[in-house]
Parts: sequence; C-alpha cells; structure tokens
Amino acid sequence: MTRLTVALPAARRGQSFLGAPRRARRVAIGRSKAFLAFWIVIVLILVLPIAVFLAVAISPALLDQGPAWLSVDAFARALTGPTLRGFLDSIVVAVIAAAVAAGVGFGLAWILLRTDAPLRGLTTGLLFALFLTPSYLIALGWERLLEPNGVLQAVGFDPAGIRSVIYGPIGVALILAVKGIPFAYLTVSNALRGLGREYDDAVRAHGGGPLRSIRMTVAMLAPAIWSALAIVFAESISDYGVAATLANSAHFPVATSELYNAVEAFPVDFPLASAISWLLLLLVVVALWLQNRALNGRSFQVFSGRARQPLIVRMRAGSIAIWLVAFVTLIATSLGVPVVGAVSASLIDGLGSISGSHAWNLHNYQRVLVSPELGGPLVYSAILATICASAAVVLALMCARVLATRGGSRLGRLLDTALLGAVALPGIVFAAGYIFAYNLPIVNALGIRIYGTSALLLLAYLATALPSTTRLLVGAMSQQHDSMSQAARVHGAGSIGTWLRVSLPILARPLLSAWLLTYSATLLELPVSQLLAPPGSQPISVGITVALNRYDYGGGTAMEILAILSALAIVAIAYGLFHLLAPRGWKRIGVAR
Amino acid sequence: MKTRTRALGAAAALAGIALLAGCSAAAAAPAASGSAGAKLEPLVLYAAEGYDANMGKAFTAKTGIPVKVDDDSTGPLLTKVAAEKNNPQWSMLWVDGDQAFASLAQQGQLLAYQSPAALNAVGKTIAPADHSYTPTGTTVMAALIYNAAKTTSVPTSYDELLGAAYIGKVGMNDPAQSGPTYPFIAGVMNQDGSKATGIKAGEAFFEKLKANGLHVYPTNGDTLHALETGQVEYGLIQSSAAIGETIKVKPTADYQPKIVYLPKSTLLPSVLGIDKHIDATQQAEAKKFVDFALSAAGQKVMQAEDTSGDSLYWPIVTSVKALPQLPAFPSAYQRIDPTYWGSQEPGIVSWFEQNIK
Amino acid sequence: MTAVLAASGAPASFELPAGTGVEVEISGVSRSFGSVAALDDVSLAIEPGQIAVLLGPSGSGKTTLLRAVAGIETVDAGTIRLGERVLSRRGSTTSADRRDLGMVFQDYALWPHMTVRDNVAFALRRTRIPIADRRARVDEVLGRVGLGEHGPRYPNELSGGQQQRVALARAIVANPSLLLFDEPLSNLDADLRERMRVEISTLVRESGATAIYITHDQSEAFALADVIAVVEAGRIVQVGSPESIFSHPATPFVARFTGISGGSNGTLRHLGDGRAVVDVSGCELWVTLIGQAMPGERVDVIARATALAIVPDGTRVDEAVHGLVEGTVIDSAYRGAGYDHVVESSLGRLTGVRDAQSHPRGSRCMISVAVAATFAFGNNR
Repeated sequence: MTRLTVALPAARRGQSFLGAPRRARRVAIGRSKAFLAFWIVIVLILVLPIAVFLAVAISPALLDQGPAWLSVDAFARALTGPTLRGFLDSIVVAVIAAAVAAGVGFGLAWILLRTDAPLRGLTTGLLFALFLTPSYLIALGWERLLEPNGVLQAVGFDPAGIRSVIYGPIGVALILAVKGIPFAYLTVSNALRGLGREYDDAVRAHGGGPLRSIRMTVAMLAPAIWSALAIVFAESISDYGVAATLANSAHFPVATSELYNAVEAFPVDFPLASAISWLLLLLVVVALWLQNRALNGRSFQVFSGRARQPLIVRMRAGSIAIWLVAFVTLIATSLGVPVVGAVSASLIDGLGSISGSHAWNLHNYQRVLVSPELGGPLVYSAILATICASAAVVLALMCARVLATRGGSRLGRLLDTALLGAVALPGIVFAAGYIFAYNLPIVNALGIRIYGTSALLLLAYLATALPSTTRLLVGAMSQQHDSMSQAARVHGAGSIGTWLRVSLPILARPLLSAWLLTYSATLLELPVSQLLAPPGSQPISVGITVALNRYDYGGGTAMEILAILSALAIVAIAYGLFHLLAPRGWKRIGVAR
Repeated sequence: MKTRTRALGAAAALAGIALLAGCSAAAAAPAASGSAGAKLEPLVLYAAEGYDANMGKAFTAKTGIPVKVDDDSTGPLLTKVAAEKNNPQWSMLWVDGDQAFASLAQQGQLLAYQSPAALNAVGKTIAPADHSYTPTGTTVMAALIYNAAKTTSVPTSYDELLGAAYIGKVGMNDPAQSGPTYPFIAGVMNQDGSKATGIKAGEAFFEKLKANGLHVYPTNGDTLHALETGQVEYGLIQSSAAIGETIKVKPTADYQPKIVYLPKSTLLPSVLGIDKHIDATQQAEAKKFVDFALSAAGQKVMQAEDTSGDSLYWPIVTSVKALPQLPAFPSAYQRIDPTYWGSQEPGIVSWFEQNIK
Repeated sequence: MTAVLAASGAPASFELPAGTGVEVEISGVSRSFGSVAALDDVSLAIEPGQIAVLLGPSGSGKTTLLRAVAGIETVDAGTIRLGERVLSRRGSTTSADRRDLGMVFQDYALWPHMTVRDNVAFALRRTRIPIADRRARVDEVLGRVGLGEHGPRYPNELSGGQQQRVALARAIVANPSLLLFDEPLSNLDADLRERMRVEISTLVRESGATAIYITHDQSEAFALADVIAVVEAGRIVQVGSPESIFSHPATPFVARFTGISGGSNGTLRHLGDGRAVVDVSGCELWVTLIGQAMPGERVDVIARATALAIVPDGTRVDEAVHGLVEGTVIDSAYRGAGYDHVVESSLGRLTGVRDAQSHPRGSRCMISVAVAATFAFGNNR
C-alpha cells in the first residue's frame, strides 16, 4: 500500500492566520452592501414603476393625467358597469383555469417523474412548446376551427354545438388553463423531484394502493400545488391574448380587455387602468392570503443531501392506453389547435380562411424570409432576449434564494407578494409605469436618460420576466439543502468555488430551463415592446403585430411561426449542447431513475 | 454569502447598463443641440402608416436629416403619447384619424404649421383652420364591401341595411378595438348635420341594425375574414382595407368582393402633427418633413410602399393623383368636427360596447 | 504512526502527523434568531486532540454552536478561537473555507453530481498534496472506511451507511486540525450506528484532530467523549468527563438527559456529608445531595439504572450505601446478559432494573437503591 506524507497543517495555519480577520470584515460589509444593492435593483425595476402607475388612480394630476390631486373617481368607474362585470368574469375563469391547470400539471408531473409511461420525452417537449405559444395563438386556432365556415365546417362537420360552449367562459378558461399547465407542471415537478420514496413506501406498507399513494403525494406537495394555483391564477387574470381574441369574439368581457380599452383607446384613460390594476393586485393578495391560510406556514423543503430514489411505477397496458388518450387530448387541445390555425393561415395568401379561392403555398414564408421586417427585428429581439434571460436568471436566482429561505423572512414574503403581483398585472401596466417613472422630467434632470433606449426596454423585459423566472427556480432552489454548499465551504472551497463546483452543477438543468423559457418569452413579448422600444429599433413582436394589423395575416403569422421556430431551435441546440458537453454528474441531477 | 456576492455583481451589471445608456443618451443630446443650425438633429416619428418607415428613409436621403421611426399600431402610439405627456419624446405623430390631433391641439401639444402645398377640394375640407395639424391623404369610413358571388342586393343608403334582405348578413368593426370605426359611427350620427339630435338618431339606427342581426368583429381584418368565410355578406370597413381586398383577391365562384359607398361617407384622413415641445432645430426639420409628405416625391413614396393597404388613399394635394387601382372618390362625403366628436368618443364607444356589441 | 484498520478489514498503513489537533476556545458566545436566543453566553474550552461531545435535546442550540464553530453561522457576541486565531466575533467571521475543518453533516451533504471519489477529493483542494498523489490519498481513505471499490459510483447508488462513510472520508481526507460531527449517526439503524461510532472514534483518535461531536444520544456521548458539554436552552449547563457527569449531574435536566431509571419528589429529612435522607412516598432513603436544601424542603429524587438491583426479600443492606424500596414488576425484557424490568415503586416507575433472572409481571420485589447513583436536587443550587 502507498505511503503518503500529508502536508502539515502548520503551514496552512500560518498562511490563513495572516489576513483572516481583515478579510472577514470585508466579507461582512460586502454582504450587507450586496444585500442592499439587490433590493435597490428590485425596487427600481419592479416596485417603482408599478407604484407610479398605481399612483395615477389616486392622484391623476401627479402625472399630468387629469386635474385631480386626490380622487377615488377612477375606482368608482372601475366598480361599475362593464368594468365590474369584466373583473368578476376574470375571477371566475381564472379560478377555473388555475384548478384545471394545477390538476393537469400535477398529473403530468406524476406521470413523467414517477412512472415509466411512454412518450415522456415528447411530453416535456410539448410543455416547452406550450410555454412558448402565445395565448392568443391558441385562441385564434380555436376560432379558426370553430367559427362559421371555419376549418371544421369546411371539412363537413358542423361545430355549432361546440362553438356555443367554447365561445364563452368555458373556452376562455380552457385556453387559460392550457397556458397555465407548463407553470403548474414546473412548480409541482420541482417539488416532486425532491420527495423521497419513503412516503410512497409508507403508504404501500400500510396497505394503500397507487391511488392512495397519489393522494398522499398530493398532500405532501400541497405547498407546491398551492403555489401552482396561485401562479396560474395570477397569469390568467393578467392574460390579454385570450381577452383580445376569443373572449372578445364571444363578447365575454374580462378585466384585461377593460384595462386595454382604457389604455389603448382614445382618449387614453390611465386613471381607470390604474384602478383596475389595483383590483387585480387585490385579487393576488387575497389569493396569497388563502394560500398561506391553507398551508399554515408549511414550506416545501423536502430534499436533502441524503440521496433518495423515487419509486417508479410500472404502467400496465390499461393505464398506458388511458395515458395515451389523455396525451393526445392534451396535444390536440393545446398545440394542435393553434398549429392548425396559425399554420393554415401562414400558408394561405390572404386572410387565413381555408374555404374560398386561396392557394396553399409557402409564398408568405418566402416573402417574409427576405423581408427586412423579419431579419433585423428578429436579431434585435434575440439579442435583447439573450441579455434579458441571462440577467433574469441571475436576479431570479437571488429572489428564489430569498423566497426559499426556511421559515420565510418578512422580506421574503414581501418579495413573494411583489413578484406575484407583478405577474397579475398585464404587461402594458408595466410598460406605462416605466414611461411614467423613467420619463419624469425630474429623472432626466438627475442625469438619468434611459427612456427611449434599449437599456430601459431591457430593464422592463427583466422586470416582466423576473416573476415567472423566479417561480421556475424557487422550486429547484428549495430542494437544494443548505448543507450542500456548507459542506463545500467547510471543506475548503471559497464562495465562488462553492458556487461553481456545487451549486451550479446541482442547479444547472433548472437554470438552463429557466434561461430558455425566459429567452423565448422575452423574444415574443408584446406590450412592453410596443411602448418602450426605442424609435428606430423594432422588436419582432411589434413587427408581427403591425403586419397583422395591416391585414397581412399570412405574413404576420409566417413571421410569428419563424420566430417561434427560431426559439425552438435555440432550445434544441441548448439542450443538445448540455447533453453533449455537461459533465456526467450534472446530468444525473433531477433525473428520476 | 455567495448569493449576496452575486447580488452585488448583478446589481453592478445592471447599474452598468443603465449608466452606459444614460451616458450615451446624455452624450448624444448636447452634441446635437449644442450647435443648432449647423448640426442635424434626428427626428422621432411615431407612426402607424404602412409607408412610414420608407418615408423616413426617403426623407433622410433627400435632406440628410435622420428620422427614427417608431412604427406601431395607432393604439399603442396614442398610449405612449399620453403617458409621455409631462415629458414628450416624439417630434411627430402620424396616424389615421383627426380626433386625437384635435384633442392634442386643445391641450396645447401641437405646433401649428401651414405647408405651402396646394390642397384640393377634399384637402381643404379636412385641413383645420388653425393648421394645428396636417392631413396627408384620406380614406373614407365606411366602405361597404360585399360578396357579389353570394348576394345581388346592393344597398344605396344606410337605412336600407335595416331591411329584411340584410338580416344577419352585415358585419362591422368594434370601435373599442378598431381605430377607424368610431369615426364611422360618429359619421352616421352626423348625417343630419345636427349635433343635438344626431346622437339619438344614430343610436336608434345602430339599435335597429343590431335588431337586424348585426355582427361586430374586432378589426377590419376580422370583418374581412368573416366576409371571406361567409359569416357575413356585407362588411362596413375602412376604404383602404376594402380596396386592398378587392385588389388582392382573385374572384371565384364563391367570393367576389365588391365595394359600394353609402352616402355620406365620412372622411378619415391620415394626419401628421408636430410636437410643440421640440427645439427650434427640430421644429424646422419637422416642417420640412411635413412639406416632404405633401410633395410629389413624398406622396410617390407613400403610394408605392403598401399597395394593398395604407397606400390606397386618396391624395388631398392637387399635384398628385390617386393610384389607378382606387375607384373614383365618393361623391357624397362629409368631414365630422373632430373636436366635438372627439369629446363624445368615450361616451359613444361605451354606449356601443354595452348596447350593440 | 502506523495503524491497522478495522473498518476495511484489510491492513493499510500511512503516515499521520502526530498532534495535529487544535485548541478550541469558545467564550461568551451568544446568537439570537429574532427573539429566540439560540445561544446564550456559551463558553467552552477544548484541548487539542480531545473529542468534545455537545449533548442536548433538539432545539437546545448545540447545532447552532457547532455551525458557529464551523463558520457557517455568525455570532452576536463572544469569540471563538481556534489555536491562536480568533475566527468568530461580533461583526467578523472567518469564512468556513479558511478554518481548516472537516465536517460530517447529519444529512451527509454529499454532492449528487460528483462520484464518491470526487466528493472525497474535493477536500484535498486546499492542501499542498501534489495533484498526482491525491488520487492515491483518496483511494486510501476510501479503503479505510471500507469503500475501496466504490470510488467511481455516485452517492445515490450507495446505501445510507455507505453514504455516511463517504462523508466521513471526505471530512478526514485532508487531515484537518478540527473535525465537526453534526449528529452523524442519527440516520442509521442501531447496529450500523454502533459500528460507525467505533470507526469514527478510531479514525478521529488516529488523526489526532480535535473533534466536536453533537448528539442527543447519551450512550453515544459517553462512548465517544473525552469531555461532554450538556446543552440546554442555549446554555451549557455542565461540562466534564463522562464519568463526572454520570456520577455528579449538576441538574435534574443533566441527570435525566444522561440516563435515568426513574424519579419522584420527596421531602428532605436529614443532612449528611454530601448526602441526605429523603422521604419518598413514606419510604426513607439515603441519597447523594446535589446543591443545597434544608430539612423539610421538597426535592427532586432521581435514580440511575445502575443504582438499582432486585434483591431477595429480607435482604439486609448497609443504609449508608444502599436503600431499599418495594415495587411491583410491570414488564420484564430479556437482554441476553440478564433481564431488564420495569417496576412501579415508591420512587416512581423505574425502568431498566437489571437482574440475572426474570421476575414475572405483577410480582412484588425488593429493589436496592445505591446512594451514589441516586440524587436529590435541592432547589437552592
């Protein structure tokens, strides 16, 4: 056997003895400074613009939006007539959407992580694609299918019955639920990954079947499920894509359509929009309060440094058949429909109708591919999305860290509320808030001139992305027990080394997913792009919308599909590279097996 | 600890971005304004016209004055203008419809300017007496586009649309979402010329139209789509969209779009306005842009760029003819008072949303 | 120094530098979380090479103290000194990586993305061992903990006991001057726990490092410790050798936490030389008096299991050494070497009363109570 002489610690001791205390103090000061800097950033990009926008409802004169310095008139208007009805409609559909999405999200998470069901890889891809697909595209797909003389009727099937169901609250809730599924899935699956098999074992040992096992898992994952409900609810009440399309065609007013009517019609009524925003925020506060009550302070930190393997359920033929039917239904209702709608439209010259004289061809793609309206904007948006996704992931990681802190500090709860509140506010509220806050003459007088620059657009993108990016990471972050990084520190790694060698590998996959999702969402972000893009630089989403508004339906959807394909390509490349290049150990994290 | 060190890094990076942007903006501003006259300042054009980007380029090519175009839909642009009210960042606004401009003029936000270009009769009708803004061309609201393959009844007045032949067959846009649609509704209300009785009469008309099975779609494109798919046989939409449709579509046995103009058609001009708050250099440059937009060269660019959409307007200057694809200008037309009807817009749109849509 | 290794079963030898342990001095350390004082003016000195066990129930603050020594937790007041270096004081904390430590975590904290070998080798990064020699050093330590063949595996491919050994190997591989153990055995089953305890003891003593070991298991503490510090509610209530703590618990809490058979309340009758006669439910006994009390006062009476023996009826005892109480057998459990009984008596319910033969449930029995291992705690301590 080898004989080894181990270096004496005396040398080490002497070495670290010298600078230790001074360095320690520096670290302590750096820590509080960094902490302060983090909160300043959060306030500047998130809290301030929202607060300024909210101020308009109470004091229109403050921002030159009316004569009154103090008024509740906007609230009075928001709580009457169509606005009130829209608000109540929003609550109903958002509650339904949240419940459905959380249920489906949980089911998918369980099937993907706890069974050997076929098509699991494809399902993950589906969820990704669903995340990328704007809600209005799904809604338009349904309309193209179901409308009078639409696709279904063209192929000889009268959808009048289905139409009367889908064109209304049920259809709106269905699409919002479909859009919410990826959020719910990610939230639940991150928690499920950390749940060891011992609970399953305990259920089985006490005579419980798979159903009881699922019920136990639901109970154990209650915090994550509540979190999923809250996020889908917030996403749903702030959605404008469905509000502008299906809800509109169905003459079913929701809060966001009223908000946009106030802001994008002439004359612009910011106080009313601001009052509606107050109400949306109130809903989120109520939702969070309900969540806290239901959880009674439980958090979902269940993962630890002790490795545990989950129990993988073998599916029987019957279950597989049911799963396949469910899978096909999911694909059809979520992606199939918009694909039919958008692709058929993009392939057709004219306005996207299938009947009639229009020829199917790739003319729109040929036209768009050489058009300067695609290339420049797509590159511009891709660059901004890249920077935004990178910054958002870093910032979200810090937010997630604050949120994942055990017990939850008061600041953590504050941040949680701010982030979910930001989700509940439509993008246009952010955008207008940014204009109000960063175009103030006093801000310019201070030498801050970032309004009308790509930098401000970027910060606004960052703020809109931050809530969902944080939500994506908080699950993964909660799973990483503190002892992992403490063990690294204790065994000699510095803070950066610990981050690079321990935290990064463990978080690599969630970080990559979060980056890609943020990238994709930012690439196609519309309301903030419309109001904050600097003159002379057009983001791709604005280009698409302008084309659609000019009745170039074929060109607009072709651009849209190309943009989505470019994002999917990035996703595929990134995951491909991860599989090729990441160390073997990194790839083991979060993979059940 | 590691998180917080990272927090510092990220914060520094963000601050860096902001600082860089601030510096570049700050550096650009004095360099430009410091030597007014000698140096050219970029104009910022908020525009929702199909030809706006090319107009910017053509103008720069001709004068050397750079133009930054924010090309977007009318809605977001007006939102932006309203949000920037206490510190406007635009030099010029160019969108369809004159009500917004009348309102901006009332609030003292517009710089009056009269271009030397000679206006034709229609142009003289639209141009405001105080020259607070400049129309650059006009469309009308509404063109009644119908599917000649499915129907033979062609109305000659709005009242005919209330007849049995049109039950469930007429579609129009939603004024809350389609910019050109409110002028149409206001135009119907303005038919008898009396503001006092017009609104009531107009409301009665739309209520009867609804009773006759009126369909309301979000925008021009949606109404056209409904026409193409046979959901309606008549669509009341903006003339440029209707004409564009007849040009694009090859008639078939099922679908032959044709247009008729019912008296009186309401003028819906494209309007260019100059922000009063810009400095003298920019004001001079903006006036040049207005002149260019009304010049033969400028109009040529406007007519060339978006030949199935916004280029299909009727010129209002004597020096330019409409594109050959356009039909003759409707003989019965009216201008509605933008100040009065602009002030009525929220009430009437809200009434429409609750009673007609 | 050459050592033969029990754990691996195979002989292995390598050179360990002697006396690498460091002196640890904790003085006046306090730490609060919000309004809760986790540590309240804690002081403790540990000699180089000693194994100090912090013994206390969960929530007593022992983990906070260990984490403060590790540099994971800061202190609000007081200092923590390792050798000549003050590593923690208010507002200044030398980070964990600069403290020359090894630590075994309760949940092992093995990094799931690294192989067993990489997990262990991680701790060698800060040493001056040439990179070429590190692999051999890692394999050698893995051999010592009986995992010689498991280097290329990942942690989740190992059993709980094996994961614990990896954590142990990682802690000792760099020969740190201080080893910290955070309830390392609490996740293992009883049989494995005893074997691991022996391994830890052997490895720590061979390395010569100072060790701080926290546990709530008194038998683990007595087996391992050179010195035990009993922690209660953020304070150290007694420090001493296992023997002194066993024979002279400072408080009823210490006595209870270090293993008792049972106890009751009594009234003090007479005082002797460090001893006293108490009346417990009408039965008078000589006991060891801890603290001070006056005749007539109520006292806590607690007996260790070692104080008790079942004696035949009519046995006479020296009252100065043993007392006698009568009881009813409630339970009898076979323990191999004899039987442990649970007896209901005037001293309360007594557990672990040992006798070579079994007494049937429900039978009456006499129990002799050794004065030296039966304590009365006065109220004015």
